[in-house]
Amino acid sequence: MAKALDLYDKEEFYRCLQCAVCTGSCPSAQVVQGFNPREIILRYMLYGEQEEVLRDENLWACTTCHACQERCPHEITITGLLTHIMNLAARRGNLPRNLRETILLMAKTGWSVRANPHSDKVREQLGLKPLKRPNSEEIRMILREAGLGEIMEL
Amino acid sequence: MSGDKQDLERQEPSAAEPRIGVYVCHCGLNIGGTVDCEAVALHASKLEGVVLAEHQLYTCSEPGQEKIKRDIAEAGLNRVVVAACSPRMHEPTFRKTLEAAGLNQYLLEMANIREHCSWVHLHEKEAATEKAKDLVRMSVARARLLEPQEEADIPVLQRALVIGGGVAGIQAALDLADSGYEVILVEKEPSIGGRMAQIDKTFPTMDCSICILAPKMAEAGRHPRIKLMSLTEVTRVSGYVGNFNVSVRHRARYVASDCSSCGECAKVCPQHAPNEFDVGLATRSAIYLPFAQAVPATYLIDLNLCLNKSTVRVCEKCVAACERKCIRFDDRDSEESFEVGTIVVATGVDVFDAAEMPQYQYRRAANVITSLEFERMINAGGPTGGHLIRPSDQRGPRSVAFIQCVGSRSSRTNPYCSNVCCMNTIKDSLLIKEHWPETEITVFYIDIRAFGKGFEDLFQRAKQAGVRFIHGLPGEIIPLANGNLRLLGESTLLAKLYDLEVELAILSVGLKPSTGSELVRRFLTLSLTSGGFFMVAHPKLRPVDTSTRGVFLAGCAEGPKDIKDSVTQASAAAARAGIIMRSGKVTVEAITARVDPEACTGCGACVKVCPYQAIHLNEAKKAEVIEAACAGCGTCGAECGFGAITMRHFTDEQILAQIDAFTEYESDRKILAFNCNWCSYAGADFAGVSRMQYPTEVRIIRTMCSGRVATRFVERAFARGVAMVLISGCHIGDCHYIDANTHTERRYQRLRRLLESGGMDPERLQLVWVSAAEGQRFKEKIMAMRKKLVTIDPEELKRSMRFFGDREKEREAKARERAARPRAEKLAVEA
Amino acid sequence: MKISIFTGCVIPIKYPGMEAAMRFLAPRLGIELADVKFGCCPAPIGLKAVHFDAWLALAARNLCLTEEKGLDVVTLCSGCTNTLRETNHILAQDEKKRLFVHDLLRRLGKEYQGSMKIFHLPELLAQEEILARLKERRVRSLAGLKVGTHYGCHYFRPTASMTDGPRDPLFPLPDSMELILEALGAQVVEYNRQDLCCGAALSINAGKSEESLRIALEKIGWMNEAGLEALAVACPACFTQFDTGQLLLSRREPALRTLPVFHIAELVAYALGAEAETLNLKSHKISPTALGAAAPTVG
Repeated sequence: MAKALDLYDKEEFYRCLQCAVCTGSCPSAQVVQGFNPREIILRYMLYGEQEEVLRDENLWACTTCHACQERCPHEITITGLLTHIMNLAARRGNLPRNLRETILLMAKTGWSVRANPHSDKVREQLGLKPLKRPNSEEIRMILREAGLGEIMEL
Repeated sequence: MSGDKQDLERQEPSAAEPRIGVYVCHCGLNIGGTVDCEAVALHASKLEGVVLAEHQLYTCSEPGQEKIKRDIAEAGLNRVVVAACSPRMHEPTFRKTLEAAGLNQYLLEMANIREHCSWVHLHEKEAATEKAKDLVRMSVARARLLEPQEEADIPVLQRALVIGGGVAGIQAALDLADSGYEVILVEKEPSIGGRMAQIDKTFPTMDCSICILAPKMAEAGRHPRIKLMSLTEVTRVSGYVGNFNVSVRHRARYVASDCSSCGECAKVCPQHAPNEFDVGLATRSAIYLPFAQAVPATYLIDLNLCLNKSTVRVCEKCVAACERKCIRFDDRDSEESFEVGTIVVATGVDVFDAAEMPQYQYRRAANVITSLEFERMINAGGPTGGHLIRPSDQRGPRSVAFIQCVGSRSSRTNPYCSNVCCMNTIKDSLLIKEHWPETEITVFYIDIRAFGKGFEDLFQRAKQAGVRFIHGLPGEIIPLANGNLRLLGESTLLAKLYDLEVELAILSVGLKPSTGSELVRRFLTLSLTSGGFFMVAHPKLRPVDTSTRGVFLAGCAEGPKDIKDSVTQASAAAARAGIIMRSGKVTVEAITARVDPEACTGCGACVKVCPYQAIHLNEAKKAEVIEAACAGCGTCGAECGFGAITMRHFTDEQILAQIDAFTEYESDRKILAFNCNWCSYAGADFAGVSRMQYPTEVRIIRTMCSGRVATRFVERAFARGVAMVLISGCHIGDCHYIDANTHTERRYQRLRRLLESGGMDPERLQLVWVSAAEGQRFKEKIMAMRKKLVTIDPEELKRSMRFFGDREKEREAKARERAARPRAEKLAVEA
Repeated sequence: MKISIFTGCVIPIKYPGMEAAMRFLAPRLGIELADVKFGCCPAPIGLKAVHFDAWLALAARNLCLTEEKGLDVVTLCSGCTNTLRETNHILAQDEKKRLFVHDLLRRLGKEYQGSMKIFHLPELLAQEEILARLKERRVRSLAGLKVGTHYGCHYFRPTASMTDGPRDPLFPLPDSMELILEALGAQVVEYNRQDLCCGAALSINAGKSEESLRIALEKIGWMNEAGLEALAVACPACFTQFDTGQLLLSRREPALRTLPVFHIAELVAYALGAEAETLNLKSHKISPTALGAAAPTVG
């Protein structure tokens, strides 16, 4: 993990009271059985069960909406931690397929959405100029240098 | 030696030659395991003035102390140096040893070769031994110049001030008054009683709160030795223990004290506003009595609400209704001053404003209330006659939720636990069940703290009564159109989410220091804990004393607590205050400032820097010290540019001698540190106690305050070739002598500029603020300084030796010139 | 004022009508738009969760592109706003990250200085001057339309760094859209759980579209309870979640009362005189006829 995600590696997690306000505020926890921010902090930070947590596919249910972090009594950067955990999980192969494909699309075209003839036509009808393509070579170079190769073939 | 001659020597040891005894303590292996005590003792024995030097296993033990006493008698010692632990530990012990042997206690000097040497250089035995030798040499140099001192006794007034009339203030006042002292009880509200008067029942006894409080309130109101000043605030406190000068402001009441509280005036008053006692749940008129059991039972007028203003009278309905004619619209605020011997601070608490937690919808949803609002409602004398009702439709709720820790245990709001909320909620839930047993009650908690006597039983009773406890606070409260509330959260014990609809939600709000306490804090220079409550002198051994002598704490001003603990603390504070007042006098440590009127030029620089206004210019335009107000910080002494001020027991000569002593060898490899007795010296001690290891180059000189460190001391050090100098003291705002360290900072900046202008490296002088708990910080500073030290080139050192040496010669020449000038000219102020 | 426009990936391809709306309203409010070859921001719910450093570097590259032109940037998407702003903030604060990104950018011949401002569309339009021009130049009023707002989490959380609003100090939400809507004559209505996430990321990242829709349903429920007739959003992801979302939900629950969703740009353009065709409003899955009720040129 050469480029360590040290922005989210702080001692504050040990302040966690397990008050459950995070899970109580989480939209995904309401609808995804098995996604529980409080439990992730407990197991990952307080109990040190890091490998087990990183294998959990439900991690990706986090929408990064920040409601948990906003309401946590100890201002713990929960969303930050979850982002960090998802990053680590991706490096262990725990990455949803559609997310992988979206990123590959971006590496190829510079955008995360696929252009198509229909949309080109609608644009023309609305009097909009054709899409301006970004410099995808530059983008690919950055992705490579930043280390995305650890996770997927670019 | 014959008895008479010896006595003479002991009576005036400063006249005689110093005969110093040096005792190097092994302290078991604590010192002996690292420092070669024998070698240190040997080194000491060769120093000028030392007639006896030995090393012992435990100097503080009985045999150790006996030896010292014997040596004083038999070897005619008239100074004693004990090289051992920190003076903060055993200076009082050895001072008593000297007293017992008939020697003045101020003839003792200690070298700290444990906390500052052996414990922090565990693996560098040679260097530690050399350092110990240096420290002993410094102590011997100082000891040579020590003089016997007499401590002054100052009289203590037999009167106490109690600030705050809640249950703690009332209890303290009653205890003091019953002990025979006069008490002035000052309360900013129109009535005493505080928070306890607002509660309905107390836990765990379920007593009616006002029923048990009211008799005490009445007693305090009529006690012959208690002068109750309600509607009064402290505006200023100056002075010192035994003789505090207090100024207060009485706010105008507009009603005379012969009011019979008949209440006819309030009945006819046209103005109404939410009343404070009922936390806004009910109204009062402009002329009102705060609550039925108020003491004093005198009405008052809220002039902001009243239609009349101070100069305009448009409504006189109350005047017409008042039989006794006690309404006084021409009443005005007034000031009063008095003196007291001791002060008890009992300023209490306010509650957390739950609107700071938007997700709980306080003030947006009608049926979300706080625990204090609940207390007023459930109270039979309260705004709803004791009926618990929903604010939205005045119906009784069939389901109630309590949410704990609102505004507590959170770095967002208050980081501490507010102590009483768990038990308060348990009590509240039992009250509801008692009156309306069908009510569904759910308590959402993080922990249930039922730690006190009888608390666990009450908790059990609540569970037995059917109160449900769910671990997991709601994420948010959603207000529904019918006034109900939906609580969403996770019940962690069941590993399930909950979505609970209730008819009333009660937020268990935390306690915070009362708003009035800030002013009090400033006058009395009290420190605060991180939670904002007043700090005690020692959390275990002096739990009601503050570090300001003569000022004590009682009740929630010291930290959130229940009634029992408040009362206990109040009695403790009264007892402690009583100890001071009973003896009728306090002893002032003999470290105060003395002015030499001959040398004083009347420039007034000292007056400007004294934190206690203890030094002033008299009619002869000479500085004069008020001995009893002087705390001995030494800031004036450092400020005086004419050598007119002597700081007893911490004289310039003594400090300069210490500097000269350790710079006799290898000063280019050494760091001189000035540490203040209260914070940074204690911080360095703490580093020692914690066995933090740091480089051996540093030698510490202790002063009472960093404000004592005069620029000439630093200059002398550099003139003697010291590589680096560190000035350390308390954090700004925490100075034991109020703000003396601000002058330290100023002098430090000046010295830095001087170094720079002289072409030298200003980084050789450093400043660090270290609190008594920041051993780590001190260690890190020394380590950083050492890194720098090894890069200093010898040329730089030579330069500064020349530069500062020249400056010192200039200063000495000027001083000689001044001394030689005829008397009249000396009175002129120097430019 | 001249400002570069950051459309993001979704709007130009999936909702070109919103881009058209933006290009319609901008000149009428005195805003000159500059086009820059921006890439994907990248999405704070996409690449950021997979490879933080790659996300940071790509975002910095986008910022360089507008900085090179000396222009501030305005975004149309709450997600893009978060990416650009947070990147700006991290690079200013964190030495290690800054060195890493600078190193990468230098190899592309770029240098990041952090000198420009990043605006989200509603807060740009809610600026006093522009709002005044809007009030002056609008040709249609939205009077009688009960409209609510949904900002998109990535725009306003964490609330500590939110500079927009708060509308109510007791409940911190932005108020730029409310100010705009009131300037257009609409009646702004609050609803419960207005700060709740739309749930789009649950579908986009984890592919859990069923669960994602349940979150949207919760929001719609509260909107209906408060009597909203239309919803204004400032993010295409939130838009899809509510627009397409309601279509999918109503197939399962025909009784569901649906309400039309609009990007704030569409409403502003409409009020400034844009026709439904110009805005391609027919692409909305939930018919925008409520808008017609307020200003009957939309059928």
